[in-house]
Amino acid sequence: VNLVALLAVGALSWALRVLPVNLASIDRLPDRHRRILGYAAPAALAAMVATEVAGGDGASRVPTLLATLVAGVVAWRTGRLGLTVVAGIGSLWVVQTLTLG
Amino acid sequence: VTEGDQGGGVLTQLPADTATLSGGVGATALREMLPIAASVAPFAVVVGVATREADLSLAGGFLGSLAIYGGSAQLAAVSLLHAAAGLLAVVATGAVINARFLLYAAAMEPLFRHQPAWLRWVGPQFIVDQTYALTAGRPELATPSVFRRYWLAAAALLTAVWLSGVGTGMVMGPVLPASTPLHFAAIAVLVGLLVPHLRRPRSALAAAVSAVTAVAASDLPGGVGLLVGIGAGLVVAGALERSTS
Repeated sequence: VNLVALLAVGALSWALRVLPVNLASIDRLPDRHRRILGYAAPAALAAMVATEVAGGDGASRVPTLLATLVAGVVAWRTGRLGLTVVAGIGSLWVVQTLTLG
Repeated sequence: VTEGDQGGGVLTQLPADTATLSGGVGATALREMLPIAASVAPFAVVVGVATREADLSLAGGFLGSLAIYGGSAQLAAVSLLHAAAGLLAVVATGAVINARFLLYAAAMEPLFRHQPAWLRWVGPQFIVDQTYALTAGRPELATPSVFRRYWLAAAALLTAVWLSGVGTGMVMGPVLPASTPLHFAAIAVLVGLLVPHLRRPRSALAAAVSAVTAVAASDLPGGVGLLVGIGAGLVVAGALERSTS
């Protein structure tokens, strides 16, 4: 039964991904609506990062926020994804070590 | 959607040696996807652990992971299953969390338009935050054969790493530590994908509104807060675009 639930989520997810690609032509949208679609990525990414940071319990929220800020600065300065991830994990490790030790 | 619509995309932030497709399309895709795939691997392990706790077999876990192809949605779904939630709640929550892929798919439609039918029906399955952000606003991917090779290579690598991580979590779950800084990798990737968009003031404003709204609405059940946040960001985007068009 649990697998059926996951496959149902998967089927709906597939429909969400496939239908815009196959049934719609983006050229038929008004120009302004097409430009608004370009904001989908920053809006979705920001919402996910923010809820992840704010969603932790009280003890993990501040270290996660600090690590997110460090990752953000590294991403802004270097534009390198790998470096961003390493800096974020590293800073979280440092903050956790300092606060726990 | 033109390059400028994507707020610069990821491309402008990549080092010069990866900004072109020199050295082969597939190799470029693998090189660019590798740090992303490596960073979502710890998250995949977490999802695997939670999937096992929802009483799924290894084969069932792989099948479900391939079908949902979205870590947040799968994590929410299996957590609800573990908590013995009703089928409707599980399916609705998972689908709502994955609903943002509808927007990505709409934005990617021109890239899939001239592809063979099989790719137009199978390829969009691999639309996730990371693959969309990687391909958005890149005119060099507009050639159908180039995009096809890039997409298949990137999707293959991400899928291989994702399933390996989920499998590791399902098998090793009981002996893994509950929480390590590695778990932060999944958030850090999202930060790394988000930041290039913030260079454009309008995108930054839409992102800020979306973030604040999503947090304010995060008490809403299963993933709805996320959608409310994204919706608020797009409303602001619409107002900004109207003011100048």
